[in-house]
Amino acid sequence: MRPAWSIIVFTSLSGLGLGMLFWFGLGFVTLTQPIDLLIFSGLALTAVIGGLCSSLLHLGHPERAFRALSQWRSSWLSREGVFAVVTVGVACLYAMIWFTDGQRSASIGMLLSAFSMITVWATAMIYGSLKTIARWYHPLTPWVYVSLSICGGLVAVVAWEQMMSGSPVLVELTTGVLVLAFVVKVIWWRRAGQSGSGSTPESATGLGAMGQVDLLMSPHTEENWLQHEMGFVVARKHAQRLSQIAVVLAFLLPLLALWSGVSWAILAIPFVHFVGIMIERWLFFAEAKHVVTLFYGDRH
Amino acid sequence: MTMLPENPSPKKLGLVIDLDICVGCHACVVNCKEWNTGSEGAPLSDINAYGAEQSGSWLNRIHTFEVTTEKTAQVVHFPKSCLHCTDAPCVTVCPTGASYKRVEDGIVLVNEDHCIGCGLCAWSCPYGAREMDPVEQVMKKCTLCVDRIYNENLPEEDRVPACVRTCPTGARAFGDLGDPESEVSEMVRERGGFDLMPEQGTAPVNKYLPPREKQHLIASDAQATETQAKNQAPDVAGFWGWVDSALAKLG
Ligand code: SF4
Ligand code: SF4
Ligand code: SF4
Repeated sequence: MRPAWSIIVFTSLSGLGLGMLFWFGLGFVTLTQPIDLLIFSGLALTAVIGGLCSSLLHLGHPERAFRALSQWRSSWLSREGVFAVVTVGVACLYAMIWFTDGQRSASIGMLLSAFSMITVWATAMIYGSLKTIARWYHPLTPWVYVSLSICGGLVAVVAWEQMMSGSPVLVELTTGVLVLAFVVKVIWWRRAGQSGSGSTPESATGLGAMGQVDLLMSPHTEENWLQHEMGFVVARKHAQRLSQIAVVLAFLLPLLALWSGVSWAILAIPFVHFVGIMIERWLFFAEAKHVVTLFYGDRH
Repeated sequence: MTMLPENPSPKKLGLVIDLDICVGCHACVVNCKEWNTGSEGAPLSDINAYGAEQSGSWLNRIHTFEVTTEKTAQVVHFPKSCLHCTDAPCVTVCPTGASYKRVEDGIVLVNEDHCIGCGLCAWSCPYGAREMDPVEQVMKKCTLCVDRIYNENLPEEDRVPACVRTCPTGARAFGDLGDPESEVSEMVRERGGFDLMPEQGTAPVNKYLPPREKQHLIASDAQATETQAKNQAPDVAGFWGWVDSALAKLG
């Protein structure tokens, strides 16, 4: 699948913001003065809303985007939109009450944490529910998104805490979450490498009973929209190197920085981690194969 | 509404495409574009139509495959348009309700005024039956010529899809595949019509009929056996039989 920047930014940036809201809802954020509350929630919401705006860039008709909230009964894309709106609303309410009362509401916080992860889950299911793309069509896909989002949120909180208190905190917890997210992603990668759609040019054309089916002539001499959108291919070697870079940036360097205890390194963690996640997301799309390519001479 | 109809009518309008007849002339492709570009929705646009790297939206495409059989390689022309699936994933993934399946006859359509051009429906279709219009940025797909088949302003014989009407060889048939007594259902039964990618679970309405074994191959097969038989010592009786066996004995 073509790795469109709008979607890569959408999934990774909103994932980061929702992860921050998750920890914010659980009350993990130290606030030395009331204005900090607005700054932290403002940062998280900017990430979430920025991600959503990026997703609008992907649309042919962004001015009609409100219509996407209507089909939550069947469409994960619609559910994602609805949950995102609800989460942003709950986050504003939670921050406002905290700001005015000087006391956080644990129950609204729980609600915020739950909704932010449900939103991430829905984002992942947009892709994870597509049977046409075997690499994505697996129950583990939403768990990858959720664990990476929680991870991103936590490293942001760690940097925040470093700024507030000047010393590293949550080191063990963050290590655990980083390792866990890494393990989930590696398992997903291993499984994805072996995934097959179960479809072949023979089943696509129904001519398998006669013999082996190969494309002789494409319907058109130039690439069409389908091939442009779904026929994206990256060299395998390329993909492997990129996944190594993603692992180093998203997990390894953050771990080293965390345990080094060096203040500037800890402050840099969320940025390095985020670049790693962007590469991971690029690969998520670029490596995915769509069954329609079987009609265009591909054999998975 | 992107839920699939809860109580669909038994009527399932669709096409039966005969791979034995199709000669790959692309006439249906052209007539499909011609009819649908002037129909209710936005025109089917083309980008750079007369230059290099042209592209555009088409609702029907003809692929050509080579099938390597035991005896030889056979060319199969393969028309492909929306199969109006019974369990259409393109309908349920649509976030806006623009993509829908008609209750009354099962035709899958896009309401272009509500489509946000997200492209997700095309991602969910295994057959590549949906294409984004490069100018209008809305999703385009085969309408089963819904604006012809019920159109009383057209003469009776034209109330079939444009592709069916235009096919010079009659490789495309249109009818109600939900009715076991219909002509198209009969064809499917007789010729062993099949689904494309049944493993994708879309339950397509459109069916394909397999190419028949080529007559000239069967003929050349028979010929080969005959020549072979001739070349072997024939069992003749009578005088010539005696000559034959006598000569054989002489060595
Ligand atoms: S062929 Fe594709 S576009 Fe047509 S109904 Fe089936 S899934 Fe939808
Ligand atoms: S491109 Fe249009 S029809 Fe297709 S899923 Fe998106 S909104 Fe629905
Ligand atoms: S039924 Fe109409 S819209 Fe569909 S492929 Fe045929 S001509 Fe095109």
